[in-house]
Amino acid sequence: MTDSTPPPHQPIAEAQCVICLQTVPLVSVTAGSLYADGRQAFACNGHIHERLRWVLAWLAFDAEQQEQHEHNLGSSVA
Amino acid sequence: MKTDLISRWYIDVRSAKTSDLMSFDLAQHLPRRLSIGPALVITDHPAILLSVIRKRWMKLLHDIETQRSRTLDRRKRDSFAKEIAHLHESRFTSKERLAYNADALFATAAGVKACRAPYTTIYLTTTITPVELAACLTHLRQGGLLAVYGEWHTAYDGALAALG
Ligand SMILES: [Zn+2]
Repeated sequence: MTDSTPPPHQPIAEAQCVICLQTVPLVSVTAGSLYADGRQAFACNGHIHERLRWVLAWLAFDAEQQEQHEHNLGSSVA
Repeated sequence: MKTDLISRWYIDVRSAKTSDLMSFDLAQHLPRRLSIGPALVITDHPAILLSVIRKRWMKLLHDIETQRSRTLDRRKRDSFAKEIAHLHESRFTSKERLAYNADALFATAAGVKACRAPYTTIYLTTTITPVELAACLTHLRQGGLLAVYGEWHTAYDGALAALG
């Protein structure tokens, strides 16, 4: 997952925040790491001020995507 | 945040009223972006900003080590351990001759010639000319993020249009 090249993206107007899971306008979010399939993941700008929550939520997200990535690899081999 | 007109990149204009707030935001933002590829930080004072970010980085490292020591959940411990390794292994430099080995290069706009392209993220922490912006963007990977601290100058639109 860590070396994935993001695919060319389509114009989007809103995005789901990986921290609070709300769908919000693109103007309210920032780009973080990637989904297991290489899509860009986002989080609300406001969360960045919640210092530890920001860090821990992204780590939980990354761990989940890593598991998904490994699961996908397993499925494609099988 | 928005995308450029033909959706090659994400553009994020980030507000930071003081240099302290800017370095806080950058230190929070950078680890996630470095987890997917190298970053270029454009600044007027590369060595100084690098030193500030390094201090914040060490604090973050300490906080995650504390969290790791407090949890018994094996999955969380593994996740924290992975992040601790990532933070330890991330290589920063403000020296152009070391740019090719660095995960994050701190450079002036004039110093981006010797860089490890393509970058996944470019942070602008200072105002640069449209010509300099166009030069920076040639190093930004498709689907990458241009994060601008302060305001988006209308002259930057010209640089984007010229690249289109
Ligand atoms: Zn949110």
